[in-house]
Amino acid sequence: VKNVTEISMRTFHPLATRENGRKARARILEKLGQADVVELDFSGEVITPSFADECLGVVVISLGADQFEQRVHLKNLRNQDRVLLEHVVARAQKEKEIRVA
Amino acid sequence: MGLWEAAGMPPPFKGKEHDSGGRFMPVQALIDSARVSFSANHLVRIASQKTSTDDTKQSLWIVFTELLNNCYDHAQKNLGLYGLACAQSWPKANWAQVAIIDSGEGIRETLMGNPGLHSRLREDNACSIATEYGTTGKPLGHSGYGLNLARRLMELNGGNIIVISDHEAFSSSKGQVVVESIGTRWRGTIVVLEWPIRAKLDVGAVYAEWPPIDG
Repeated sequence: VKNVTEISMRTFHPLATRENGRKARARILEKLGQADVVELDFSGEVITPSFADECLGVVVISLGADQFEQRVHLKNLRNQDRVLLEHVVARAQKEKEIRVA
Repeated sequence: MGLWEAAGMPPPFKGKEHDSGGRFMPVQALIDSARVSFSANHLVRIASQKTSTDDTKQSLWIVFTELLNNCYDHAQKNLGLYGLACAQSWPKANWAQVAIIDSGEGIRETLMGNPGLHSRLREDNACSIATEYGTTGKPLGHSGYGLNLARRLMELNGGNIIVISDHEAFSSSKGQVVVESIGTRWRGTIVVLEWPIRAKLDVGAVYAEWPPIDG
């Protein structure tokens, strides 16, 4: 049985700046150290590319895209933000590969 | 528009002040990075209508937030003044205009932080390069989405964008792109956006056209 924990992204409202992205990322990585799966609830929130980059992009660089997909679940995203985050995740994985090389 | 006052300087002449009537936002000083979202919300209120869709208001908020973030990221922090922002709208003429100005090191200097851009910067206009997808002065950790997002949102909706930094200028208006050198220098960066205020804006359309990432 997987240990699942949830984070309400509203805690970091507004999801606008890199500074807030860093705070959210620290919480996500902390929870990933305690649980198998972290669910991020984006209800009512709008995400900027800078926030996405600083928060989830760096989590992907830390975990790798496969682990991210398995362990970080995104819910209640606006359709536009889902497209943005898919792009940010793919780009971060590419950056991870470049850093390793 | 309160330009001199916002910059903390005495105005050289006494202008006649008009009631904004919700149609313009006098020049505001950007002095606190924690107020990016607040400033973006203020710009959205001036540059949208009550009848604007949520997608339109959210798209404007995202673009303004990205541009305001750039002000704080690139500003000369010892000045205490990161930038200036103002907005106007003309609902009957179906037009809105926002200007965001930073006191930073300028686009060319910022992009020189990315060795992968050095050869292009020797040949091309830095303001034009900065509006392309994925252009960044920090190739690790920063994706460079903001100015491209602003440009494409304007281009897809009948709007204009003007970017000026130091002696270089870029504009895109009605499908026509102009790059040029200008005589009047501003060491930081000036971004002006103009668009039909009744247009339905959607950042999702810009995200959807970004190229897929290989790998």
